[in-house]
Amino acid sequence: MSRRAGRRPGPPTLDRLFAIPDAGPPLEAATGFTPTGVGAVGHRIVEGGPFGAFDRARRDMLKLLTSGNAPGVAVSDDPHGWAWLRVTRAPGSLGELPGDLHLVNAVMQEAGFGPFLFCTVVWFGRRGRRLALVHARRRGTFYLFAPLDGRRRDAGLEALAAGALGEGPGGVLPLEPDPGRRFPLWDAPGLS
Amino acid sequence: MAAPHLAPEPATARRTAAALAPVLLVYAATVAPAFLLGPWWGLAAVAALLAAAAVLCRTMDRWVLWAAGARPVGADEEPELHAVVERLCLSSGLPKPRVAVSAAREPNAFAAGSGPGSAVVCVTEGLRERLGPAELAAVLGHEMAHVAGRDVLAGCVAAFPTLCAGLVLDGWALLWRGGPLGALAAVLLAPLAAVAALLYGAGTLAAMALSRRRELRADEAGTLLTGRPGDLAEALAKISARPGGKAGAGPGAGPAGRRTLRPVSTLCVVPAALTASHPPVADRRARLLTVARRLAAGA
Repeated sequence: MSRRAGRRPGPPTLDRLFAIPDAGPPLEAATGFTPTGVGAVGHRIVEGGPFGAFDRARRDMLKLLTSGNAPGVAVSDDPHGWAWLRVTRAPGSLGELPGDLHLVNAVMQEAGFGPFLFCTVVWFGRRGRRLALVHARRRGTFYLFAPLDGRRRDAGLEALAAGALGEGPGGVLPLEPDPGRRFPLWDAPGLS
Repeated sequence: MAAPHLAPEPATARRTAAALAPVLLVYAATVAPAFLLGPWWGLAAVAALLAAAAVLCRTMDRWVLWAAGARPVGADEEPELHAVVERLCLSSGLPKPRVAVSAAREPNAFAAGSGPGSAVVCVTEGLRERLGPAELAAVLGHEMAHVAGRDVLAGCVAAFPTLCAGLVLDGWALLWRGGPLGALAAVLLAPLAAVAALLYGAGTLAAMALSRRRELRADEAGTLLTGRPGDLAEALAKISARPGGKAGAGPGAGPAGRRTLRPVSTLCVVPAALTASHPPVADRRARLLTVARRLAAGA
């Protein structure tokens, strides 16, 4: 296993999370959606129990995250073996949230559990409606997810927001080109 | 720890090609009789086989689904299956395969297709009834590892002779139940059934070498994707446990259910027929528990 790690290092795309604040102004100008202050990191609950390597790494990460100027943190898991770590900051701006989410990703990746993180989400809202900016770690790309009632998606809003973030090389963020890979996240915390 | 390493390695590709050699022998054996009629008939048969193989590569997924009595399902029909598959795609970077459900009562699952872009992942109703959510995710992770390893095509090419022979055998067995007329037809068609049985046996043997390593590799790659080898070990135990204790003895997952999956047996996560083309489940569980210990220790 480690033999392969040397040949193929993890994708150096985590730093792109720091570009998320750049997405705020164009997104608000185009759609009127502002940051809700809620973000989340989705990950696999790796086997090993409370004293296994994964839970140790998660405890270390939570300790770092909740020291100093700490955000609100909540953990939720689902029966299929995935979990969400929800991070809450003051709504309205994207000040510290991307840094928090980067810390979660970086510490888990450093401990060797990068492959078990599947995405990072930052929520925007306007009058009860929600819009998620999703970072797919494995692909190194961002996409938009606009949930509607009854498990439908607002494709128009997603396209509008993607346009504001700029497709192509001049854009603010690298967007996912394949529409088939912009997966919905119906259980992500912060959706309602 | 390493990233879930899902791309095929050159060495593995070479070994897959080597393991396919017996399968090609089975294909050659089906064509060889035509050469007895004359060289032109033989060449025509080879050409027909090549053409069939080309068509097969494009349409393999549909064949396999049809043989297994499965149908593709949409996200509105099966939100749980789709959610799990999508999440596995998100963490592996794979394009999303189609999702299908087979009405078979026997708990099992398989992946088919000619590559990651055109793959289909199928589970049976029996599997959904018997496995918990975490075990379902583990089995789907195993199947996604097949899709990622591009061995769905190799597996399908290897499974095809068995698939055809299995369908012929199933049809022939049905004839016996069709009254005196059916029995007469069955007797008349006995030579065909004998050839099919021979092909089924040879095809299964040939597919064995290939599927054995495919399964072990998918177990490992699937575990690197899901991080939960224990769930897969649990699922394998539940799938291979036949009701009634003895193989094939139970009424629930009895002969009717198994017959549905017999043609695609070598593709399934645990072999559907009695021929064990996969490594013994106990072996695979032991390997998975080793991976589990490694994960817990963070090695």
